[in-house]
Amino acid sequence: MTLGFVIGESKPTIVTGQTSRSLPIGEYVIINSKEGKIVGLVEKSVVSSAALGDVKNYDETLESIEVAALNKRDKSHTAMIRILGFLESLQKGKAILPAIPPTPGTEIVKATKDDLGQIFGPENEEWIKIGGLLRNPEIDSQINLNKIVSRHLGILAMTGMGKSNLVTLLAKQIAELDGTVIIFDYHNDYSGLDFPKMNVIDAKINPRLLEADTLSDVLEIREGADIQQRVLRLAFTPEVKESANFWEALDSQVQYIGANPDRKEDRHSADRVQDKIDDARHRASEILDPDMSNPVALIKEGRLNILNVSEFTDRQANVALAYYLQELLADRKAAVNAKGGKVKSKRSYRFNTPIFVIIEEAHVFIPKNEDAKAKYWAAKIAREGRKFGLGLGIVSQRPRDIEANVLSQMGSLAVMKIVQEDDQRQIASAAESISREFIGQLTSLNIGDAVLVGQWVNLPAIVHIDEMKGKKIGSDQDAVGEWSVAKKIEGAGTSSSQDLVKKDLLVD
Amino acid sequence: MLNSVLKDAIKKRDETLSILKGPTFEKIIRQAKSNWVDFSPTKQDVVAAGIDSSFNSTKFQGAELWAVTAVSVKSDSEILVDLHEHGLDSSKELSSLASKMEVNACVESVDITELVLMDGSIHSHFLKRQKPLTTSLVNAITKKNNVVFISKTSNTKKQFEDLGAIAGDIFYYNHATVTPGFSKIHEDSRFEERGEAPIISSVFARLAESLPLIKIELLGSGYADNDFKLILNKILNNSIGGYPYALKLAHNNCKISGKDLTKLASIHGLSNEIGSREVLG
Repeated sequence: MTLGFVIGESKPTIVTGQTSRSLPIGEYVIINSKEGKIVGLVEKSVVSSAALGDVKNYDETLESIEVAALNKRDKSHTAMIRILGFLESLQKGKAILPAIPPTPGTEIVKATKDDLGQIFGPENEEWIKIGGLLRNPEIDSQINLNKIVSRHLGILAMTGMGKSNLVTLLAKQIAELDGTVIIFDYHNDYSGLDFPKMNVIDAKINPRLLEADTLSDVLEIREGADIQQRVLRLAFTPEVKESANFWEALDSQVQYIGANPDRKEDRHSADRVQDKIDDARHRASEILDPDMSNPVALIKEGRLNILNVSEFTDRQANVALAYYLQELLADRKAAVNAKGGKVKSKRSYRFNTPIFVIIEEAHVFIPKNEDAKAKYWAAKIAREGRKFGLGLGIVSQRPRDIEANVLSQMGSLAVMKIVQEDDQRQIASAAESISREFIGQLTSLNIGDAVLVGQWVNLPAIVHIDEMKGKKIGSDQDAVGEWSVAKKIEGAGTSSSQDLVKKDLLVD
Repeated sequence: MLNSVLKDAIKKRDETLSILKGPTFEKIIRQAKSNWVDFSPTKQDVVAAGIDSSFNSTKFQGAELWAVTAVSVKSDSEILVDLHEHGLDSSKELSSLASKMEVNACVESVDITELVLMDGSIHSHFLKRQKPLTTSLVNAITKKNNVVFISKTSNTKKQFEDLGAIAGDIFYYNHATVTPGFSKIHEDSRFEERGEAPIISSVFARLAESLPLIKIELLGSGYADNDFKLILNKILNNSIGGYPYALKLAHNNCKISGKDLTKLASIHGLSNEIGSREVLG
C-alpha cells in the first residue's frame, strides 16, 4: 500500500516523506528505491494545514477550520524517516545502508509482516518474544538473550511504567531455558512471583568473610569516624575471624584495644564500636550471620534466584551486593578458566553456565560521583563479564544518577517513559543509536511501551511489552482499597462486641 | 538610511501626524461615520471562485525568461481554470498579459460558479493597464452579473477630497468604524464620461467587528444597499480574517517565485547562461 513519496533533499541516512496520512512515530516503512527495498523508521511526523498555518486570533481560527474542512489539499503530512538499511540484508541480520540516497519521488509503502517478521522475530532459540511492535502490532518483537548476557542490559523508565514486568518476563524466560538469573530485590517485589523454577533467598552477610573496611560499612560506622574504623581494623584479626563465637571475640578484642593505657583517646571510640557491634548482633541478626557458609552457595543454578535485600540498610545492601558480585565474577572466571584449561588457581566453582544478574534501583548501587563497593564490582563486570559469561542488567528510574561509565557499557537498552530531560540526556549519551527525535518520543510512551536499542535487537524498535500474568510486581499500593477493608474489619469487630454484650445481658 | 532622514522626520513629526488629528481629521471622521451602514452579514452558501494572476521574469544577457499564470480556484482548492504562458524574449508586456489571462479566466468561470471574485480593482487592473480588454471584461461581468472585484487596500481619494483629506478614503473609514458593515455606495463615473467604460460602484466593507476593511467593486450603477448586503453574505462564506479564502488560494496557486523561475531556467538549460546568477539567488 502506497503511503507516500520521498520529497525534498534526501540523504543515505534520512529522508523526508510526503504522505497521504500522518505516519505514527515508530512505524516501519519500506522505501522502494532503485537499488532495492530499504527499511525506514518514522522518527518525526508533522501535519500542517494551509488554512490554519498563520491564523492570528480565535475567530480567524474558527473560519479557517471551516475552510480547511472543505479543502482536500489543505493538510500536508510529512514524515522524517530514518533509513535503517536494505531489507534483504536486515533480514539476514546485517544493516547495510544505501550508498546513494533514495531519489525524491521514490515510493514509500507500508512494511508488511513478511518484510519485518524475519527481522524482529528470527527463528532461532536465542531469540525470545517479549511483545509486539507498537505501530505494527501484528509483528512480534523478539530479543536476543545471548546478547544481554554477554553485553549487558539497561532497563530505564519512570516508576510504574513496566520495568519490573520486563524484568520478570526476561528472568522467567531465561530460567525456562535453564539459565541462571539473580535479581537483587531491593523492595522485596519479586518474592511473591508464581513460578516453579524460583528460588527466593533472604540475602545474608557473613561478617567473617568481609574486609575490615567493609565490616565497618556493615556495622554502620560513620565514614569520617577514623578512630572507630582504626579500632575495628585492629580488632578484626584472623583469630577473631576464625573464633567459634565471632561477635563475642570481636567485642572482646575491641574492648582490649580500647583499654590500651598508651592510647587512652581510643577508649571512647572503642566504646562506640562496641555499641555498634551490639546493635548489629541484636538488630541485624537476621542478615548478619557469622555461622553461615558462603552466601553464594544459596544461589541455585538454572533457577530464577530472588535475593531479597529489603531488610538491609543502603550501606549494608551495598556491601552485600558488592560481595555477591565479586564472588560471582570470581566463580565464573574460575569456571571459564577451568573449561579452557587455563587453571591458575585451585579455586573451585559453583556455576557451570552463564549467569544474568539484575540490579534493581541501580542508581543506589552504581551512583554517579560517589564511591561505592558495589559500583566498583558492577563496573568491573560491565567491562569483563562478557568474557566470563556474567551478564549485568541494571534497572533504574533515575538514569541521570547512574555512573555514566557503567551505563555506557550496557550493550542493550530498554527505555520506557522518561520525562526528565536530565535522564533523557544521560540515555542519549549512553546509547548512540537513539537519535534526538527518538529520545523526544520517550515522554509520549504509555505503560508497557519501550524503545529497544542495542545489540539485543536487529533494529531499534518501539514495542509494547507483553504483560506478565499473575501477581503484579512493583505496583502502587491501593491505599483507598486497604482503608476500606480495614474499616469493614473494624466495624465487624465493634458489632460483634456489641452482640456479645447483648447476649451477656440476655443471659443475665 | 541616512541620519538626516531621521532628523528631518523628528522635525516634521507633528506636520506628518496632522493626518491623524486636528479639526480636518475630526470632520472627515464624522463624515465617514455618517456614511457607514452597520450590517452584520450572515453566511450564504455559494460556490465561489477566486481569480488571480502573477508574472515574473529574469534577465539574462540579451534575453529574458518570463512566466505568467492566472488561475480560477474554488475554496475547496479545485482549480477551475489554469492559464499560463512562458517564453524567452524581452518584448512582452507581462502585466498586460497577466490581466488578459485574468479576464480569460473570468470569462471561463462566470458560467460554472455562482460568484466570481477578482483580485484587485477594476480601475487599476483593466481600465488603466488593458484598455483593449475592457469590452471582453464588461461582457464577462454582465453575462451573469456575478463578478465582484475585491481589494485589500485602496488609494482612492474621492469621498473626502472636498473636506481636505490627505489620505485615501479607506484610511478614514478604518479610523471611523470598527463595526461590520459598509460605506455608502460610491459611483465613479470618470470612465463613463470619457466613454471608456460603464460607471463603477464601490464600497469599503468589513465582514465582522475589528477586521480589516476590503474594497468591493461592481461594474455598473444604480446598486442599492441590499445588493451589497447580499454580496457580503456570500463573501462571508469561506472567508478568513475578512478576506475570501478562494482569493488567497488563487494567489498561492498562481504566484511565481524566484525558485519557480530557477526551476524553469533549469528545464531550459539556462542555469549557466551569463546573467543567470540573479535567478539562482
